[in-house]
Amino acid sequence: MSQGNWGGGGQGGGYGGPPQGGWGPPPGGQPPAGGGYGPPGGQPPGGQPPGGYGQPPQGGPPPGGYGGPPQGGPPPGGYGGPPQGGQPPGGYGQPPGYGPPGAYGGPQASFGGGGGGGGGAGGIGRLTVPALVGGAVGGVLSAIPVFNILNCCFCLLNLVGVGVGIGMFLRSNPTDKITAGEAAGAGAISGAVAGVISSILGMITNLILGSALAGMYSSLPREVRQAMMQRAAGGILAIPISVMIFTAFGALGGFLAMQLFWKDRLQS
Amino acid sequence: MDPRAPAPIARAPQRWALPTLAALLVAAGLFPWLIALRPEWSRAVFDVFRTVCHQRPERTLTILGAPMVVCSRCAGLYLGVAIGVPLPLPRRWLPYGRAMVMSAIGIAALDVLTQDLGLHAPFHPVRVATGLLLGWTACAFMMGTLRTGRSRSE
Repeated sequence: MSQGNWGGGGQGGGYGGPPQGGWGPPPGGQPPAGGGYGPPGGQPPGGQPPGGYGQPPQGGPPPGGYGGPPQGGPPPGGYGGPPQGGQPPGGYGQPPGYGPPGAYGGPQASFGGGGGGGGGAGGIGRLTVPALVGGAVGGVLSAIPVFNILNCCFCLLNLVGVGVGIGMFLRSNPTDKITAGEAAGAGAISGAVAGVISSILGMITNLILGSALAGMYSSLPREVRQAMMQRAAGGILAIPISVMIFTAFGALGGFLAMQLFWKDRLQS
Repeated sequence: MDPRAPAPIARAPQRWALPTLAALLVAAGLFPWLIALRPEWSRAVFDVFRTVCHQRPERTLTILGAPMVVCSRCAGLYLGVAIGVPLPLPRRWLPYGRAMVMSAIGIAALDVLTQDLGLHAPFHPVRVATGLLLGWTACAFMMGTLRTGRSRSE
């Protein structure tokens, strides 16, 4: 093993440009101790020989090999002690926008520069659109007569809408993670939308059915017909009450969906 | 500074968000119980809850001569949600939160199954208790987690 050269292709190490995927994940998940993730063109700190981690080059081992870490102490180069004088040049700090996608898989922009899709813009805002779509799904499902009996089970159709929204976000951002609070917030948004849509659609259905039935059964006593019309018009009350109930259960559903179904995507 | 530490500004929850959510959960959880105290109001909004509960008379509690707007299991569930806000899971219980919720779902499902198979008649105390357990574990788990997260971010 010569000079502990672990990769970086045939260019001699990790401080140069990444000729063959030189910024890949470090072996064992540990950050490189002696640099290696730095920007191209940086100088080796402290005059250390080129080293750094990287993916092995394609097409055969480089001269010197990248077999295993040398035994019996640090090698003469590569992953020795941290360089003196503060931060290594480009050690594993924040690369200015050219880091590998998903370098550490985290949602924070601090790593990998653009990896994870979060880009540092965390918060509920990025979940708004999927939450609205999920709410529309939940609201329409909850307004379908007979089918909405499924809501008797812990507002199941509402929760389906919440799950659709969160699932959409997680599928379109495969490396991103969301917090429990964001999941609850997204669920609350979905629930509110579902409450509005289902109550409005329910009111329309009631009006259509109620007036049709009232016309059909004109022979009914006046009190009965009046009660039917009142029931049809009573949907106005349904909007604020449905929004309150659906929002509360949507928040619970969003939180529980993340905890039970996507717990590996949950940011602690 | 640990470069893997989360960006606190980007991830900090809004200060108003958690109290708003808590108030919403309490209001939603207590609504069927409070409105049952005014039977005329209860009758007025009875149909609103038709989309979220079957409201079968034999499975619904009657208070002050009027049926509640939701069945007894749902009533217990709503009450549990309201109780879960002031009584969140303690931090040391949070690792068991998922198991607690799953257990509560299992117990409620078992009661639903045995009741609908005709093995026993609808029994309001059990229905209320299973709903209450499910509502409380779900809400207490969420509130405990969110409060822990907020105190950590502060």
